[in-house]
Amino acid sequence: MSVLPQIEEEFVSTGQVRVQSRAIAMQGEESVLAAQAAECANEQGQFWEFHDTLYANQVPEHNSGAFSPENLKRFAEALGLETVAFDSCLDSGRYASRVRDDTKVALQMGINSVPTILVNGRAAVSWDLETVREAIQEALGSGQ
Amino acid sequence: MALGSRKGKGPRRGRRGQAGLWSYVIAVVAAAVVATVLIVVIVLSLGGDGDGGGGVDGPVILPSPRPTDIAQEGHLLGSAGAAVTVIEYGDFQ
Repeated sequence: MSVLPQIEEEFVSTGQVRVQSRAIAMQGEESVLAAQAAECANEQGQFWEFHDTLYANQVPEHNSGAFSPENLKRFAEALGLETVAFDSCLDSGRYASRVRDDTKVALQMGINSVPTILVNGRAAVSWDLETVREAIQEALGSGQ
Repeated sequence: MALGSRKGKGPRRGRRGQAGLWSYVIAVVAAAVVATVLIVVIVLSLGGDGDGGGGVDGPVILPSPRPTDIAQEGHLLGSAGAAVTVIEYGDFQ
């Protein structure tokens, strides 16, 4: 579950907020695979399309095959990505160490639950929409 | 005569009664089959993942496209001149 769609609608589309997504893998091997796949999509300029597709195809049970390499490749094909390049990227595992390193850094920063939202560098107390909205409005109001 | 007459009418009423009973049973069974099929179809159409998602092997669900006027640059979304930056640390699972 992500609050980003609402944040985008209310603040990003108006130019007030810029969002950065940092994928970390805390829930097993398919988290690592999904994060790598997003990086492979980023190579073709479609990080956000892939990001949204991953969220749209989440299932409650982790590591159950929903984000298997085969399914991640199906997502890429459905999005119209160049599949030979995407498949090669994913199969190479060239982003695996980066995803694991990013996850380690996040854990060292004290980010031990997902999603964690930082608003101008400050962690929101909670990730629910109302809390994040208030944090953004406060940052906008204070000119931070 | 009277007894014979009763005997003569009795089986005719029984056949009609049996036919009616069978019609009733067939109607009930047919209704039960239709109801079962409907329930199965509804349960399957709702999916087993409880999230509205395509499931492990289901069709890929594609999100609605973003408005084209929202700038995208790698992992960044939105105007470079925005006053506030929101960073989401998330796990795609």
